[in-house]
Amino acid sequence: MDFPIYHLAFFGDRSLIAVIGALHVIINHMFAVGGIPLVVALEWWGWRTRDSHWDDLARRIMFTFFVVATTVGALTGVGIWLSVALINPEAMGSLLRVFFWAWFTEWLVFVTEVALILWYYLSWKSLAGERKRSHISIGLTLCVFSWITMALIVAILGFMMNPGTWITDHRFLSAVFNDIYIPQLAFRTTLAMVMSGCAGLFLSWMFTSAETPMRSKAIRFVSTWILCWLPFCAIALAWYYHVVPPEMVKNLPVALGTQAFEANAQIILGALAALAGLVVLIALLGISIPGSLPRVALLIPILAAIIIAGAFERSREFLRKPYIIYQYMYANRFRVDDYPLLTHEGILPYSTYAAVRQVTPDNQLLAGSEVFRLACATCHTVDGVNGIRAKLSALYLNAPWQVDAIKGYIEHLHDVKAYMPPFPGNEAEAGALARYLVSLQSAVPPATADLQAPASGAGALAKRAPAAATPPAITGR
Amino acid sequence: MDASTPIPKDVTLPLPVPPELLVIFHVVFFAMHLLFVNLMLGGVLLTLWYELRGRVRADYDALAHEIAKTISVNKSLAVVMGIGPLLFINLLYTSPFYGTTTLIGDAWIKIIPLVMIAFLLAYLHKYTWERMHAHKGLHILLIAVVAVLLLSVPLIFLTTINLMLFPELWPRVHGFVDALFLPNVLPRYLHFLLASLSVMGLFLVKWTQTPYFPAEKLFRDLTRLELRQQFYALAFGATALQFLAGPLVFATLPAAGMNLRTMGAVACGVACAIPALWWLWQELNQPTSGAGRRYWHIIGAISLTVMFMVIGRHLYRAESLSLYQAQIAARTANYEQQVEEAKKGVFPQHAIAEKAAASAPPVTPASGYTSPLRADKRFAQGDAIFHQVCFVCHAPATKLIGPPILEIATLYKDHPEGIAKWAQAPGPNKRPPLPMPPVVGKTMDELTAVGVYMLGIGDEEAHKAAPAK
Repeated sequence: MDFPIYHLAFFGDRSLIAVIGALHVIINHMFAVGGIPLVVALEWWGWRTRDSHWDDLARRIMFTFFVVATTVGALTGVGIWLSVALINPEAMGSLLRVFFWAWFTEWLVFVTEVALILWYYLSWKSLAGERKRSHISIGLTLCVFSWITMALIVAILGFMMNPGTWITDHRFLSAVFNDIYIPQLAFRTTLAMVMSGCAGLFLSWMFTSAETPMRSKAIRFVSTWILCWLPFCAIALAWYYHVVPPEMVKNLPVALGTQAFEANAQIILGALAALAGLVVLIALLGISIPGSLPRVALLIPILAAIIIAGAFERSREFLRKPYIIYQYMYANRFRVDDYPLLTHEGILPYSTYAAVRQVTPDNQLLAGSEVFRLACATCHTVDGVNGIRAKLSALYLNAPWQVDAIKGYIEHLHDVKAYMPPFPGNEAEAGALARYLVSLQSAVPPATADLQAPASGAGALAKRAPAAATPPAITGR
Repeated sequence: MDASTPIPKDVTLPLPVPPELLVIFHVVFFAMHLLFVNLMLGGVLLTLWYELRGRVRADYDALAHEIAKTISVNKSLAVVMGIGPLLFINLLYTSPFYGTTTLIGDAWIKIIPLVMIAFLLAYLHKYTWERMHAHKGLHILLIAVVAVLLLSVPLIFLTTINLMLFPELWPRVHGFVDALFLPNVLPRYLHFLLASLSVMGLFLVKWTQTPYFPAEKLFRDLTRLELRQQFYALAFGATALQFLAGPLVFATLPAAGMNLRTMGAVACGVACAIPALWWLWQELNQPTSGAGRRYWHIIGAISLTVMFMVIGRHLYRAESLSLYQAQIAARTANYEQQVEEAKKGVFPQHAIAEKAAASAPPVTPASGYTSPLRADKRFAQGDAIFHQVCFVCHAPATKLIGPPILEIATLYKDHPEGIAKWAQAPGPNKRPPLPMPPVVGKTMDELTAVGVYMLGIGDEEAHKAAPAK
């Protein structure tokens, strides 16, 4: 409402956050929060057993973690912030105000973490022999700091899912110690350890040679690591699931499978469980017959970890719907508090950068497209990811779309689909939006006009103008 | 700023810390971020330069390798030290900053992949130094690509931070390239590049003289003294050129944010740079072993210069956005009041007025008295324009940023043109702290219609206040 709209017409706004966010979580958990404890454990074991092969392996694994974490890991972390602020500046601005001191502390810890990771890796060869103990201490300190950065950010994720008493008291500590916080932190910590083991299995194979007994020893060590953490991870997941607000659990089928595979949610859940079971099996084999495990078998855990972590993140983000901050702000960027005013007066009069300020009989399509940008475009595109035209086509097929029907649907969408926010505008705006959406049935978007013309009939091109017209609003690019 | 600039509402949660504290944090940590960015970029450029020269003289290749090793640390610290300032600016300038980044969002978000790829290539370059010895051209190409990528990132930041100062230009700016060529961006970029060379030169002067730098082991005939002289020359040259680039930046600054305090800060910065330049010149002309006894004097003076310039930069920004920020605050407060009233079932008058303007039937005000001016054909038009432009600062009977309509109507009784004239060119008796900006983009007739509307509303408010009359 108060920022120019940045919109990715094909990729979809939320896909941008999803790609950057998933990449960051996988790298952070696998290579930093979980990865560094694994490396330190390997290094410590080598120091204790006076076997330099362990130290060598630990250093090589650390090189991988170091390069990835200080480039893709660090930058995607900033990227989450930048992309969320582009797509949903209202939510980002609000979260920053609630969590300033957490963010500020996290930043100081992060600066320390980066300094430590540089120190730890770059001093590996100089702090050897007599000074090995110091080097391991640096590693342990690094473990603590990288865990603290995650622990601080997890508070914000928990807050978004359930801010609890903050809604009424607006206190910082209520925001941090929300109901979701500790269970989620327990889950992420143990998940990170398991994930690092999954990566460690493959890297152990990669950085050792088949001729030495080191390969088998390393695979056995890392397999034990996975199996030690896995039960705790399962318990933490159950605890976490238990504190998710009950109405959100209803979103789980769509969260897991998207609407297309909503009905198959059980199968997807089963497949994820089977993947986890496969990891257990391979870890067991890694302990009993480490020398005979083929390379492919060692690739499965790392892929399984990526898939499970990705599915978890997607589900967590989706369960929270229709909110971006539960009971405070909807995913469409409007606060719950804005609704009494806006559903009466409309969103257009209050939208600083909209092309029109009110719906009139002459500007229905333009006003409708503006309402679409303001109220729908955070999650929907016209023809791209989560495209609205395809959704309506699936609903009404080839029958002529009806303004009144769609208007009625817009006004009651949140009753039908629990993850949709209520429509934020007033009745006139719902009408204009419905008219705009109906115009999409016959209008052809400019980029695909030539391709679609024969299929959608001769009238299509003639009518494309209203929907394709670019409103003279201030838009982002 | 002009009166047609769209005024957004702010995020409504209160700031968690006093803004003064955020300003101090921002100035201090931004200077630190800048230091590491300068070291990183200077490092990349000098690595490229010496690796190229290394094709003629092998010692320079070894030197380039040593400089390349500094990039790993400096680049990581540059990124992490940048996060704090980003946090502070997000809070201090929420509306202007997010507004700007969404406007040039495609370029803004590209910062992430650009930096990511640059960092990965920098590691590849560093860790394949020996292995790619037979393919030197390709190896040099790697660091050249890193240089291009990392040179483009500050340009995106500068364009963003510059565009943020001018919300009145947003409706006219179409994308990144357009914003890039606004005055001041390219001069500031030049200023920044010279600073990177100067800072890295100074760093290398000292570093190549320390025992940690194994010059004797690395080089066949390149001496520490030679290096000292080269890096002092670089630092001197780049700093001297700042005396041309600096005035260029200053001259292209739009007048909006200029005030005595900003000029004072910049003048102090320049005053510190003069002795630094003199000491640099002396060190350059007295080749001795070690960095020289004036080294820390130079570092101190240049640090002061940077600090003053960063403060000046902040003061300029605060000044140029002050009116805009105040208007945002006023509009936000107004909106929040409407939100609270709507929860109780009371809806704002202005929306009703807007509907009236659109659908013609006149609304009878609550007092029961109807001004005869409502019959004037211009009243409805004035009403509409008032609610596009003026309502941000003026309310019927209460003082927002500007005086209430009631007061204006008393002053200009029967003279709507007077209001129009004032609006086009507000007179000299502007009231501090926020003078009214001229309304642009509206004709005299349109503004006169606003005058008619204001007189009408003022008339009704006067009757409300004294119904007996």
